Amino acid sequence: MSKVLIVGDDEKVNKIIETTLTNSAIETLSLSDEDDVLKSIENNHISLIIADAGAKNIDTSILCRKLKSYTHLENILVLALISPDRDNLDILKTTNAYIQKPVNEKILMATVNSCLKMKKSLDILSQNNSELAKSLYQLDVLYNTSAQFAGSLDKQKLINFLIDGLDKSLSFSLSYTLVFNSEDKIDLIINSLNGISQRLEHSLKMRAILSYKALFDKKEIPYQIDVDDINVIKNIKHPLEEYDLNILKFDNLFAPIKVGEKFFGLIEVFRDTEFTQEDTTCFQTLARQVSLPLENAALYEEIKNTNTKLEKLERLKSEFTSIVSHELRTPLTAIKNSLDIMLSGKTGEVTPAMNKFLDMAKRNVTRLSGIINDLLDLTKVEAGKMDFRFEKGSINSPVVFVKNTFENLAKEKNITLLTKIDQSLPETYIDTQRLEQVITNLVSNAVKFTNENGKILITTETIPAFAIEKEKLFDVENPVFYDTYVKVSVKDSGIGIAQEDIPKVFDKFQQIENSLSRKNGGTGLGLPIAKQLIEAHHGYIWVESEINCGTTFSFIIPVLNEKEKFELDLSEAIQKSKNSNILLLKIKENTTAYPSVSRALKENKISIIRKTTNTKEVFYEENNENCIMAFIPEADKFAQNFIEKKIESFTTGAETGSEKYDILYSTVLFPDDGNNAQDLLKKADELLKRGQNE
Amino acid sequence: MSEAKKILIVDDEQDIVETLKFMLEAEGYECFCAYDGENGLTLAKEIIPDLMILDVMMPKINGYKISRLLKYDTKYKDIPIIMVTARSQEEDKLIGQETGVNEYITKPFELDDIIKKVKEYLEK
Repeated sequence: MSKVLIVGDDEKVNKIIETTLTNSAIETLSLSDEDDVLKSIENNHISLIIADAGAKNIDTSILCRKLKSYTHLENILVLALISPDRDNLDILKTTNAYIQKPVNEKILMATVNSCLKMKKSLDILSQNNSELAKSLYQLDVLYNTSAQFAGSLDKQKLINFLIDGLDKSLSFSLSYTLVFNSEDKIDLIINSLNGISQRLEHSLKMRAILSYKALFDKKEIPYQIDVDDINVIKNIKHPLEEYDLNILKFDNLFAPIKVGEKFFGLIEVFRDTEFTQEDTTCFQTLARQVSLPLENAALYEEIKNTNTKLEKLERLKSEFTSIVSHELRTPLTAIKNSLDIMLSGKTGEVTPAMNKFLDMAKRNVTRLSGIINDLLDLTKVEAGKMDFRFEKGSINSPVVFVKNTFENLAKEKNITLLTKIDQSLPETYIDTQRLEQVITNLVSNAVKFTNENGKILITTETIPAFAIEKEKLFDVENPVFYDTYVKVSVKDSGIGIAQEDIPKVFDKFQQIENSLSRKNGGTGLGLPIAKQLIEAHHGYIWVESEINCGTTFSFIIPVLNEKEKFELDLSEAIQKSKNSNILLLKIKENTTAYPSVSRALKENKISIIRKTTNTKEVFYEENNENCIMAFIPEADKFAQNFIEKKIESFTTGAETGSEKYDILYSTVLFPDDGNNAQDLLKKADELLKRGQNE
Repeated sequence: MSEAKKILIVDDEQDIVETLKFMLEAEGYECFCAYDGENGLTLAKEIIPDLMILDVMMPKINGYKISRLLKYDTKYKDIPIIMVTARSQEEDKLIGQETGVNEYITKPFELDDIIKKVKEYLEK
């Protein structure tokens, strides 16, 4: 039923309007005093005000403005009565409609009716609006809570996010959450607006157990549960007031919490006002949504546990090797020393027969210690613990070195040992000592398995990637190739290897059954070690052989430029890093501003990093751009801040005294800023460019 | 002829100590032996040897600690120390250098090598 308020001091006009409206069954109310107007509007649910603009003691435009300033009154419409002879523009700005005096009854009715229709639409609209706003708020909470869910792998936190989200969207009075962390750890988390009485706490425990059992109806329950097993966690907002059993009469919502498809817990909320349909939907959605992140959290926990176990195993293995090597080496030393003393003749005369057997003992002790060393090498290189010292150099130098070492031995066996060296071989990154180890192994095998008057040829050459016979590289998954390689081959005219044995050549302890190889001894570890060492150089090793014709072992090592090597090292460090972060730095000298600062600055930039960290760093200089890149394994946010501060103090001259340098730098942290080397380098470049433009 | 040079051998492996002692005495040196770190340190301070051969892994006080304690004491810092160990990791060598060890030999070693090193320090 609409009610119209008539405001004006002209009794006659008021009377006309009243009569007209009452005849159309519209309730009216007339007032002539401004003070009464607002009060009566609030008390009488007015839909429309008809205000006489000519009234002397009421200012219509002020009344309109007042109305607009109250949110709950802003939807009330105002119809102005104006005289045609006066300037009424000001009033028209604030009123919704007008009619001219003298009042024409037909026009009045038409205008009032259309105003009332408009009012009705407005009311519906604003009601929809407020419902929409509430839904929007709930959606917002849902969205935020989902985002929180996605960002956490911690079960406890996820449950807290859930309760928090429900609190925000439903404003519940009390909630309890029963969570089965494990068979013997059952938590009852109570979140309440007010404190809770002793007997309420007990009832909540009982209710939780009953709800839990009810969930499974007559089916078998996954966990046995007893009131005394429940560990209660209380979060109370206003502890001064207290809820008692009456809270259980409040409106309530209830849902199970699942981890994937498995039961994990349950939640019930109570509120003093009734829950709407939207509230229920929101509640069910959140309770359902937490399931997936909880499952992820469970999986993550499992993976973490497995990882810890694996790491422990790995550690045990390397400890074992270290202990074994220590325990074996000490008695070996004592045996060897004793033999040496006797062989030296200092303990008395040694007969030729004694000498023969003492010598045999000593030879075998030496062999045994060789096996121990090989074993240690293999364990180390397999665990990625071997330290390599990669430096730019030519592969020719280890080849020549090994050839010289074996010259005498070859001569003794009457074997021709030749080399075909490519003097123009490009330099690349090699650990000369380790490559000597590899080449020594290959040549020593060749000497062992080649008969008298045989021939051994060592060749070095450059080879493009397309010329590599890739089918010969066995046991390599998804090989990656660089443009150019250096290749070393050791070719002998020895006894050869049977085709079916070739795939076993690089396996551990795999000495091909052959009387000659048995006689020639060896640990069976030399080739697997060689393979690992070559692979650490990002190269490949393979073998070609024909029985009674000879064998050729070849390996290739990529020719890398500084940049490629740096990126490879970075990727490798990322792969190896388990718990620690890697910090990547790019420092650029701003040459446009300071063209003269050169060498000294470069050295300083390096020392900034060297001085600030004590871990191993890897550097790479982009000479043409005056850039230095470095990465520091085992860095953290603290190290990042520290280095940034250090560079800043250096560039402002605090570090160097009076000199100021113009340096740009960027720091990125793995895994925070990217998951692989490419992303990190790209990000570092981006940040640097941004710094340049600023 | 001057008095024989004194060498202190500290190792918990008696057999190793025996063989070293035998060879060094044959070379004309006077040898003292200790079988754990604590005794080794006491003996070192007592006799002030011309050279020490020291094992790393020993009960009570390990070789690094002995080396550090002696090298930071002006009275003993000039005693050359040859460290003998079964470990060959690079970092062990680094620790050895930091604690002032003069030479580092890994087991199993050649007796001739040790005698050569000893002579280098005592007969220059």
